[in-house]
Parts: sequence; C-alpha cells; structure tokens
Amino acid sequence: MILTLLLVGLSVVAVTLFLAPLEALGWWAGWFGEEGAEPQGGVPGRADYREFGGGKTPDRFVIYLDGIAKVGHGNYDDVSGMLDRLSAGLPRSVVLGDILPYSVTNMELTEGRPLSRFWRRMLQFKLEGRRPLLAFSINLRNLLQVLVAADSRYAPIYGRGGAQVMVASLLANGYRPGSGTPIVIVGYSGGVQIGLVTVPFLKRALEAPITMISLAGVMASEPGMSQLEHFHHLVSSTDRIPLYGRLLIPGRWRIARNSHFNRLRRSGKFTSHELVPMRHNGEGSYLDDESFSGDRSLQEITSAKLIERIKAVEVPADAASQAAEAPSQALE
Amino acid sequence: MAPLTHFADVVNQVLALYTEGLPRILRLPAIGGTALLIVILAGVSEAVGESVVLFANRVGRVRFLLSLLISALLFVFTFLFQAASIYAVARFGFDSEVSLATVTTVVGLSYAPRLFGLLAFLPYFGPGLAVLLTTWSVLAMVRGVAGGLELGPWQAAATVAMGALLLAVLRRSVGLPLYWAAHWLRRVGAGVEELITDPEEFSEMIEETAVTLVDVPVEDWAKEEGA
Repeated sequence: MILTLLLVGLSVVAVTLFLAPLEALGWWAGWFGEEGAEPQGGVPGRADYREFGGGKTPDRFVIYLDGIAKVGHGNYDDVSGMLDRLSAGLPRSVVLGDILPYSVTNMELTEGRPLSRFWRRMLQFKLEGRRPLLAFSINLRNLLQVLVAADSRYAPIYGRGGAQVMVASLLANGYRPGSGTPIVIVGYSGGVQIGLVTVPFLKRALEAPITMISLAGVMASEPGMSQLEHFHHLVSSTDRIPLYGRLLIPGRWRIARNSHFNRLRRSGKFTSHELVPMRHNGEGSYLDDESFSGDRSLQEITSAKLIERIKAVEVPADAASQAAEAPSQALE
Repeated sequence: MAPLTHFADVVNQVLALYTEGLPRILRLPAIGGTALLIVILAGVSEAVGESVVLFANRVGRVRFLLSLLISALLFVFTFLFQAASIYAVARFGFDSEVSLATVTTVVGLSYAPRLFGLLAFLPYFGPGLAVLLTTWSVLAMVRGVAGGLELGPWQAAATVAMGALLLAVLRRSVGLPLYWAAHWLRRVGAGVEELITDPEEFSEMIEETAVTLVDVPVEDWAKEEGA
C-alpha cells in the first residue's frame, strides 16, 4: 500500500515536473493566443500596499519578488507588512510588489486557469493553517517554475516573460526608460532566481543600473549576475534552505571558477549580510512581525536591513534630476 | 503485431544489460521488427525531450507535431547509418562475419534506454538525465555488440567507438548533403525561415526583443489606477 502510494506520488511529481515548462514555452510560442503573434505579458494587478501619485518623486524603483508561496498579485499579511515598512522607510522610492514571479504571463493561480478552483482551495487551507501538506502544493508548483527558470534552455524564455511583466509594472508606475533611475530587485527565496533571469532583458529595455537584494535567496549561477551593479545576499545563519541551494547547484560551487556566480564574487560585487537567527518561512521567519529578537520584530529587522541596502544604492545625478522633473508622469 | 509480443520482455532485458544473455533475445520471433519499433519510439521520445528548440522557434501546434515526426524519421536514418558504421568496423577491423541484419538488430535494441528520452524535457534535471540515458544506451550497445558479434568486451567497445567516429567523419564529409537535407526538412517541417538550434544564438535573438518591452500599452490601465 505504502509502495503504491509512493509510486503514485512519484508519478504525479514526474508528470507535474514534465508539464512545468509548458506555461513559459507555450506563451513564447504563441500557443495560448494567436500563433505567431508577439507574446504579451499580463498587466499587473493591484496590491494594497502600493503608494504612488504626486506625493512621491521616485529616485529608485524597488521590485519585490516574493517566495514560492505566492499565488497572485495580492500579498500575504506578513509580506504586505514588510512592503509597507519599505514604502514608509523609502519615501522617495516606488515599491512594487504586484508581480507574480511564478507565471510569465502574471496570471494568478486562483483565476482563469483550468486548476483555479484547486488553487483557491489550497490557498484557503494555507490561510487557515489547515492541511499543510496539501497547501504545500502551491509551494511545490512554484518551486517547479524556479527550476524552469534555473534551466539554461528555458531561462531566456522565462526571463523574457518575467521582464515583460516587470517592465509593464514599472512603466505603469512612472518609470522612464533611459532615465538611469536605479532599479532594485528584492527577491525572497526562489524569487531571486526569477529576478536574475530577467536582468539581461530589463537592462536592455530600460538601460538602468540594477541591484539585486536576495533575502534568503535560492539561485543558480546566472548570466544576469554580470550585469548587476551589486548583489547583496541577506541570510540568517540558522536558515539552511539557501545553503541547500548552494550545495545542489554546481555553478555555485567554488570549484566552478568560471561560473557567473564565482566571477561575481571575484569582481567584489557580491556581499553577504548575516541576519539574526530566523527561519526560512512561517513562524520565526524573516517576515514574521510577531516574533522578536530583542525589542524588534523579525520583520522590522529584515525591513531595516533592506532599507539600509536600498538607500545605499547610488542614484546617478542625471537620473535624480530627471526624476525631479517628471514625478510619476504615467499616473497623472 | 509480432514485434509487440515480446516488447516489454526485450526492453527489460536491454535495460538490465542482457543479464539473461543476448542469444535468447536474438532468437525471439520478429526481433528485428521489435528493434525497429524501439528505435522509432525512442526517436519520438527524444524529439519530445528536445522540443524546446521548436518552442524557441515559435512553431505552431500542428507543425510541432509534424516536426516531431520528422525528427523521429531522421533519428531512424541516423540509427541505420550508425548500424552500418559499426558493421563496417566489425567486418573490416575485427573480421566479424555476422550479418548486417544482426548488427542492425543489436544496435536497435540498445536504443531501449532512449525510450525515456522525453525526460530530457524536465526542467533542470533533464539534460543530466539525457546524458545518463545515452550512457546507458552505449553500455547496452557495447554489451550487445560483444554478445551478438562474438567479440571481447574491449573489442566491442572499440567497435562502437570507432563506429561513432566513422559516422562523425562521414557526417562532416560525404554525408554533408544529407545533413543539409535533414536540416532543410526540419526547417520546412517547422515552417520557419531559419531554424535556430544554437542556444547562444537563441539567447541573443530573444534578448534583442527586449527593446520592444517598453512599447507595452500601459497608459489606459495607469489612468484607471490613478483615478
């Protein structure tokens, strides 16, 4: 009985794994729209935390790419809390968190998909803290998308799709291509991998300086690393998940001297920052606002570190003046 | 349907690298047909495993299926040339008197691990699995050539290696017109002006499309958001 269940489980994983690249590949091939037509990314949806309008003169744009528990454009409470802190702590920066990194078309898992009902149910379980094993199917589904993005055969297509969604969100929030306004990608866990594969496309489309901040990131060695201004890796010594990623991905091993990751390290553009003891997710994690270290919540500590790193991103003088001339123009 | 009768048994034996010995397998009825069926199915399976090329070239669904069939057909032709190469090396290099039909059957059977070639499509793990399956297939080929052609293990390994070398040389010399014809057939099947198969060339091509990203129609949405 146990063997049968195990075999069934393995078969389901194998089939799911096999189907995982189809969303990105089918999108690029035009299979889900008019065949041969230029692929279109989804327009990003709303997110409650986002602030924009006349009050801000953006000097930096921050794109947050959530971890593999994300299901749509909205965010879980802990993520929203962290994004609110970023927005408050960075009054001159636009913070975007409306992107679903695990869909090249930015299509929510819970709407417009053949399995939407199933994902809605899983989300309900996750929010209510029930049936954690079943609810973990969301994480598993998104983890497979991280694997797709980490596969050098599929990465260009995934990166192109992800970049399209990110550029749409940036433009809608007033980003001016060619202005030189810095873009900071904050990725949490698998979100870092997705961010990295979009970098070559963002760079070419927007001609912007791009900084990556990894919050407990799990990532491969990616060509996009060579185009970053800097890569900050924030991680707690008690969180083993990023370590597993480092062990499992040959391009991250020191022996792979010419890998993109090791070249990034040698260039001096990689900095690791150790955070206080935290777990990768759930209670006691980086975004937990109800667990404390000293008199500060873990979310507060993480947000403060992120704000410190984002503020350290240099704003070119010409970008600052252009931003001052045209604040949030697309939204007026 | 004779080739199907012993299909599972034959595949199991090849995957186990002929633990029960090759002679019993070669005596099975219609074993040549079974070998050919293995090659055809392996060809389709590998075509699916390597189908990222078709997606990358934005091939439509109908032409996608047509391209898979063309790839399988070319796979069978490659197999025939490989069998002929191994036969030539065995005959003229090691004085083997085994018939071309037997060599073709042995080589065809050794493609059984490649029936799982579609696993190459799996993200991240796919390319590693493809290498594993090819290695498995080569081992089965060496065991098969040793048993079927009555050669020692090292002679069998040398025969397979030299056969592969001969095939590579032929492909880059007198076989070039055939190679071009195959490429043409793939391109026509895919219905594209140029079939990009080089990953680096594809990366460059797709990165060039990034300049169109700033043309997305966001104004209406932005107004709605701002309202």
